[in-house]
Amino acid sequence: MTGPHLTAFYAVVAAYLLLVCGIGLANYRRASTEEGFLAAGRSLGPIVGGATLMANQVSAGATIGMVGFHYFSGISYAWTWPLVWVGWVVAALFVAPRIRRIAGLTLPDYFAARFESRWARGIAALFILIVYAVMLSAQYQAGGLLFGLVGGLDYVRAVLLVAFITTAYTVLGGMYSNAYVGMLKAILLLASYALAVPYLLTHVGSITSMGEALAALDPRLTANWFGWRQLLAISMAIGLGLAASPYEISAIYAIQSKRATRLAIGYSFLFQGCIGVGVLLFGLSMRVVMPELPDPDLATPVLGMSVLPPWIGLLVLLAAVVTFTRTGGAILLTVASAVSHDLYGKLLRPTASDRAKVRAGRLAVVTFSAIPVALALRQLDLVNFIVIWAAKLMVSFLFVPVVVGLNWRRATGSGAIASMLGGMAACLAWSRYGTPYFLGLDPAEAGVLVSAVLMFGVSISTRPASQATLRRFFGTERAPDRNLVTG
Amino acid sequence: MRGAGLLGPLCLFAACWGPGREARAQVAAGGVDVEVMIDASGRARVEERWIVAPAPTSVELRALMRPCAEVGDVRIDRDGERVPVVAGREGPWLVLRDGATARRAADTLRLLVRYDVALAARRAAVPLVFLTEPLPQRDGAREGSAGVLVRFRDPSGAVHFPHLTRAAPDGWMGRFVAVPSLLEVSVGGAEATLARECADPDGPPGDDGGLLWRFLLFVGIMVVWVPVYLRWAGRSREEGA
Repeated sequence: MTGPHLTAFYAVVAAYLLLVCGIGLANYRRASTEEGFLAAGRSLGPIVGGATLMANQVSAGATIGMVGFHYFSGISYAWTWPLVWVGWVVAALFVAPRIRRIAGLTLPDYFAARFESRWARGIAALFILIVYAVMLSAQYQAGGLLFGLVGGLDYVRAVLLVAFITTAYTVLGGMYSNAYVGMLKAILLLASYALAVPYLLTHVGSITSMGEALAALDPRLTANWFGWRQLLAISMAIGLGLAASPYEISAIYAIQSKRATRLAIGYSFLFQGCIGVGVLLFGLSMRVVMPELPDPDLATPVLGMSVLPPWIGLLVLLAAVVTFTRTGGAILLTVASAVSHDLYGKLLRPTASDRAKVRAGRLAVVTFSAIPVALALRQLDLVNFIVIWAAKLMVSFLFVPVVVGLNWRRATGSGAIASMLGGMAACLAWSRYGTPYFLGLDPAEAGVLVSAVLMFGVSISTRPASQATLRRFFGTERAPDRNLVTG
Repeated sequence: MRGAGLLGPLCLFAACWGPGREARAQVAAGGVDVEVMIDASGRARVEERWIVAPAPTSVELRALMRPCAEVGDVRIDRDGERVPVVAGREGPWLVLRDGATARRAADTLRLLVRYDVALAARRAAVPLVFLTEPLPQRDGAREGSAGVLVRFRDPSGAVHFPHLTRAAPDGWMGRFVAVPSLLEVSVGGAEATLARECADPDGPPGDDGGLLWRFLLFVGIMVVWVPVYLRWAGRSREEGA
């Protein structure tokens, strides 16, 4: 990308930021209430909702990290897409219909309502902050690599620029701008893949000729670089983690109705399918065109900057910029809600006004940004490995309390707290142990297993939730379970 | 309130911008300049000058063989001395190793790689030979370590892929983070001697390692899954949904 095109890149990024700020400012009044800021006034339809769900999931981990993954490991990682969708079906069947009953704003709201426990709310909020610091660092790292290469900035400046853009956009817009930028993100991603993929196939060669070149480089590139066991563990972490993911649940709260939510999940599949194919072909093509990149995560930036024609390349780069700023925004919004709504508004100052809580949320966004910046500057690993590790942590402490809590009447607050603490501890311990993992279990599997054992074990030993709570979540009243312990 | 919202990110940005500037050191120098001269008969002469970290053993280079382009007369000079070249094939890749035995201690290794490519069509891909080690990445430098310059005897020639800028009537140039494996060009002034298009741009079928069926299966799953799910979601009732 040369002089005029580089200027065009900066101009387009600036125009995008102005647009985001415009959406944010246009909705500023609506976003000045807590429900407006965090849940877009529960106004999203199926298509915008679907774009929002997709936009949350398809982060820089996909547009930069997954392209890099396909670049260095070939096709096998693509199987995680359909496997992850199983997690979405779990969300559609077992999470979305019930969790909307509480009309909450955040995932910790669910913990407080379902388990009647301030502690459960506080622990969930705290753990969300920790995991999202890791997740956000992957977005900043990806953005830093892109701006570093395209803009000629050193990596530190590039990461700071990305953090600034993401923070400013979140502070200004809240969920309203996140939802509409989600739609913009979907359009940009689809347009860039629609233009770039046929172009690459025309010039690099057919799938078969790419396969010949890749198989000769390393036979695992066209077959199974990752074994099924690894793919299942990764997909379980990402897919089941999504079913209970705070930002996806925040998005579910923001959709109009339960039926619209299920349809939105379907539309998000449509977007994700197109993106999955595009990401795969980007990675494979780049491995054939430039087999010796110094860092696989550079595949997308290099593709956009110096392989594709400037205007298609510009679109690919802009889509990547929108991706990491938008997902970063969704994460920051969740952080804002965990701090302002759950920790500040419910635990520290329950009498705080709506306006004070929104202010606390915006302050939290700004303050929290610094932690992932520090992590991103250390470049812990490839972008997608960071995303996968964060997903493993997430599924370990959230999946069981959310899905079991929503579908098992006997689940209790003590069970949920034990489940979260035990799941997180097990995942960390297994990760620390390293490969080959203890008992052959992946950290995510160990986390979910320990979390489930503790949830069931502690719940049947403690007092069940009140009848009012059970009626709220499960509708018709039923006779208490036989193994109910009332002590 | 609105001002306070904007002030925060500005402060964060301003506070962090200065101190972080020098935190990351520059990587060691290294790179390659590739010069390709293409005449109207479809013959391309390629000269690559590499300056890289010294290699304790023989260096390995590769080139992606494409239909309608034949690589020949490969010569490698290592630190100014001609070294024997051992060539082999791995699928569509031409693999070249220098056969040098004596190693001289030095800060850098200078390789001069020269070869000819005979094109059989006016529009064809010129394979570029590349070292099978990544070039160092320069932090904060937009330009990559690999410079490519293509010159045509006839100015109506053009480079189509990857993207190069026309720097002169007969010259195209670009900088990359790594050497591209191919340059798709059209040769100007060659109407009489070369075919218009490459007759078989994908070449004879080889072993794709199962990529095609895996790709089709992947796309097939996506194509079936979405309508099936949407049909189910569309039929679910609001009350029970």
